Amino acid sequence: MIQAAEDPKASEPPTKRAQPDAPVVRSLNPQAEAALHPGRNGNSNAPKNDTPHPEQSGPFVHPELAGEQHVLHVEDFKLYYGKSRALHGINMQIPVGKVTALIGPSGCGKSTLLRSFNRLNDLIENVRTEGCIRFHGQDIHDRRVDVIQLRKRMGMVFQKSNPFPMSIFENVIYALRIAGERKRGKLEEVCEKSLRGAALWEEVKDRLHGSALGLSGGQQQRLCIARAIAAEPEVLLMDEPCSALDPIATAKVEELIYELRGKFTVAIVTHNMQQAARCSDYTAFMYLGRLIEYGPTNTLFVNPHLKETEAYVTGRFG
Amino acid sequence: MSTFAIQRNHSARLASFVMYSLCVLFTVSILAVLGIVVAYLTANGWRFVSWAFFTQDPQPYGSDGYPGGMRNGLVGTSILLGLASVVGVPLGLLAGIFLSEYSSRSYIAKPVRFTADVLTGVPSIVVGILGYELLVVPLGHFNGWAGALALAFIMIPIVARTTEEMLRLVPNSYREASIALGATKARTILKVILPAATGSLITGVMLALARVAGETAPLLFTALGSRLLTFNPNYPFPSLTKQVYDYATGPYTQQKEMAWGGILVLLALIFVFNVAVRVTLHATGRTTRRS
Amino acid sequence: MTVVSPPSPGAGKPLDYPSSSDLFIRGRRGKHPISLLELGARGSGIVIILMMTGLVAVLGYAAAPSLHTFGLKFLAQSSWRPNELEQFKRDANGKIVKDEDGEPIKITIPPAFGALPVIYGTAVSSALAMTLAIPLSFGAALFLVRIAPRRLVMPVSFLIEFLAAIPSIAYGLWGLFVLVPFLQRFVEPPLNDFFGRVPGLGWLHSEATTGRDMFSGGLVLAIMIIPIITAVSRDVLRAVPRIQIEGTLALGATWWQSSWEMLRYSRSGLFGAAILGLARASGETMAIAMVIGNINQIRSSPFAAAQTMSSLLANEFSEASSDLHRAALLEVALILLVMSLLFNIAARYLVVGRGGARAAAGH
Repeated sequence: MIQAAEDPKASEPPTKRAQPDAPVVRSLNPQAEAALHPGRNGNSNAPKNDTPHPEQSGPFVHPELAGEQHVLHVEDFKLYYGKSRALHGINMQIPVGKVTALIGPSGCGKSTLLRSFNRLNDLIENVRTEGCIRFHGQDIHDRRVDVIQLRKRMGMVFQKSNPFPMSIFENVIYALRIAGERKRGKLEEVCEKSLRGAALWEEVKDRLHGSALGLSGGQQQRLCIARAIAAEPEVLLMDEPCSALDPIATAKVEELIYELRGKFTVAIVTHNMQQAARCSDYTAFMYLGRLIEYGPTNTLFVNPHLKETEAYVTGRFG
Repeated sequence: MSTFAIQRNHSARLASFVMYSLCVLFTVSILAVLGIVVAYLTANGWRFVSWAFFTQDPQPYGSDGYPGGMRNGLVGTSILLGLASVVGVPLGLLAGIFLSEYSSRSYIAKPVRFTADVLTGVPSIVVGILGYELLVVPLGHFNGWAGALALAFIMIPIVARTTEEMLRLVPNSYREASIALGATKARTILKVILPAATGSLITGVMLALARVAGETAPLLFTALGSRLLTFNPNYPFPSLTKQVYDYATGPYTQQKEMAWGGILVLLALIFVFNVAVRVTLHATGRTTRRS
Repeated sequence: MTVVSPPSPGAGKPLDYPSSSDLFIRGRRGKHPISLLELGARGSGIVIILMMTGLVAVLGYAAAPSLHTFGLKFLAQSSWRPNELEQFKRDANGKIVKDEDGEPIKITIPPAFGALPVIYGTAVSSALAMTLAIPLSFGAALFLVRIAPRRLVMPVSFLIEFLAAIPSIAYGLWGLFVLVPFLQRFVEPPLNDFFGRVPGLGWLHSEATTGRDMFSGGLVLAIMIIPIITAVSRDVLRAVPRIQIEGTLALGATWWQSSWEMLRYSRSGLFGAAILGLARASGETMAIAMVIGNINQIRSSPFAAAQTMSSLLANEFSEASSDLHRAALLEVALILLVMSLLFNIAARYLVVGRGGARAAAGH
């Protein structure tokens, strides 16, 4: 097992950024981010374990994860769209209070997995699942499970911002409205708190009752985050939340994710590896419907255990 | 060899030119004929619509107030439309919601959609006979209820299909977002989907109303018509279209003139509704694209 | 290598979460009770199916006596006599036969009902309408899709859709007061003369021209169905992939050659559009009842009055003289319904999925 600290690269400071014009944001894993720097050959001197193909061996999960407390356990989870299998027996856990990034090339099943956590795939016809996902130890596919309650405890932010065609205020407090909350004071309090939590309060406080569709793309996405956290979920699922945003808006959302750490458990799907490096504690690399490698973000990017992971994080495929 | 090619080309071009011109000519002649129809209907109608038309009931030939107006028909048609809407609009909307929102795992969704489509094509006179068999025969005489039932029967599939179309225009991301926030499906529909589509749903209903407002055939053996102003649907009931038909096919000149007026009122209603639909659909199209 | 371990208690950073799972466990089954909305929606879906079955069942039930009495002969019989007829008995030479007292002998001819004249009337008037409407409509649809400048498409489309929404009684009124007198004065006499004089066309000649005849009926029907066929076939043509057209143009096809390809590509959709028009034409009531003359007869001349199934119903149903008369009319209605169902089912199969579904649903 290779420890990140033993790797010479790990001690190098992040001298340059991948995109010089991108706004400066805090990074959880500067080394990991630096390792992504183009032109830098990540595998020049790092020894690689020549493990057999993951299909036979199962994923490589770094031991650090065993030391975490987990809120979600995915156990041999398979998902089918009609007859074709999209997820081939995923085994992983999502640690409490941490940001976990799911990366992998398009079509690898990372979004599908994320949408399985709150059973949003139920909406799609012909979806069938096997295996189980446990939330607090409870199988979420159990027929006794109240899927509504489950979803209330897992907020979700989508790839495209999708505010409802209502006022900003009504958008944020939607979850409370459907829960039957009527006290104006409580609604306003939650609205402000959530908007502050999503770093949007200052920008919209004067037009809370204006249409949410009038906001810019980045603001809309932060509104969606505010809407998700207003329900006080435990887990925040983010499905490529920045893919439709410009760099400045992206930076703001990333900053926000950084700040949500600890308050929420965050699972974020992203195709942007810089983003995964900047704002996640753990990263899971998926490929073709399988989990390939899962470990601390720093280790995964700087010193991945498997060749496939390295090939992907250094941008040689995908 | 080349001459042959050129000749072929020539005849093909000529044929093309002829067909192109024919298409233009056909369109122009269609628009001309239809323009003549509309022009006649409006011009003639305009001459014979007066204040009395709206405020007086028909008077028999030879009496003082002859020919009177069509107040009874206007009121009758409005009441029939109201009664038909009470049944037809909720059922149609709900069926549209079913087709758009609850159809995914339902075996009957496809048959329902198909049936609704076919029902819109059933000749309206046949629907009138249904109303006769269901409500006139048991009651023993012609009545307004039967007319309203026949109109509702025509409305339901139209409202259902337009509602479905309109709800499908609501972006799916609204549904996902609401469900992910822990809303039930019913709440999602009531709080997000329907409000987002309200404008287009109203115009859809208006379109259906405009369609049935012009129906005559289903009223012939149900409401039958009446020369009196009445609010009691237990008895033969007046309607604008039936009165126009009676006047047009009757012997009296002034009544024929009133028929033109009646048609103009109908046309105005239908025109306004159609414009409203255009405008709303245009507006919804824009917002859906933007969000 | 693979580490799949349950969380070790106490390890890692504990967060103050309610760790119990019972928050999202509900009763024995996790399903929420079915909502009123869903119940209503599903119920209304079923109502639509019930409407159709009810329509067929009620008409079938009501027409049963007639079906029983006349059987299939009903379709082939050409006399329609709702009332008994009393006539003087005549011998082979046409002389009235008298009894011993010198009184003429009367015989009663029982009522007879045959649907042939109205089936003929419906078929011929619809055929006339289709012959006129199809080329015009397809031409206009091509115009809208391939020729019309952008600025023109919207208003013309709107106009055509508005015309499709005009109720049939309006067309009937116009037909009765404008078209009929016009045809009677300027069009029918010369045409009728022409048919009378040219050998071989005599079968089209009629003794008199009244204006209220098959010809007027067909014309009014054509005017009524043109907007529908145009609107649906426009949608069908619009759904033809651009590549299909560009491909032919790139090969050097003329405008018409590529348009022909377009028509050929979408032929089943266009066929569906035509059938939709046919369905409307054959079920049309008010306009046709006002202009066709309403006489149950089979005449080869287009200038003779006729009757269609729907106009027969409109004229006689509310004043049917006997139960048998009513039953016979109900059987006509049943034939009309079955025919329109067949047309509509065929049309939807052909049009659905070819872009015309939307327009088809609207009319």
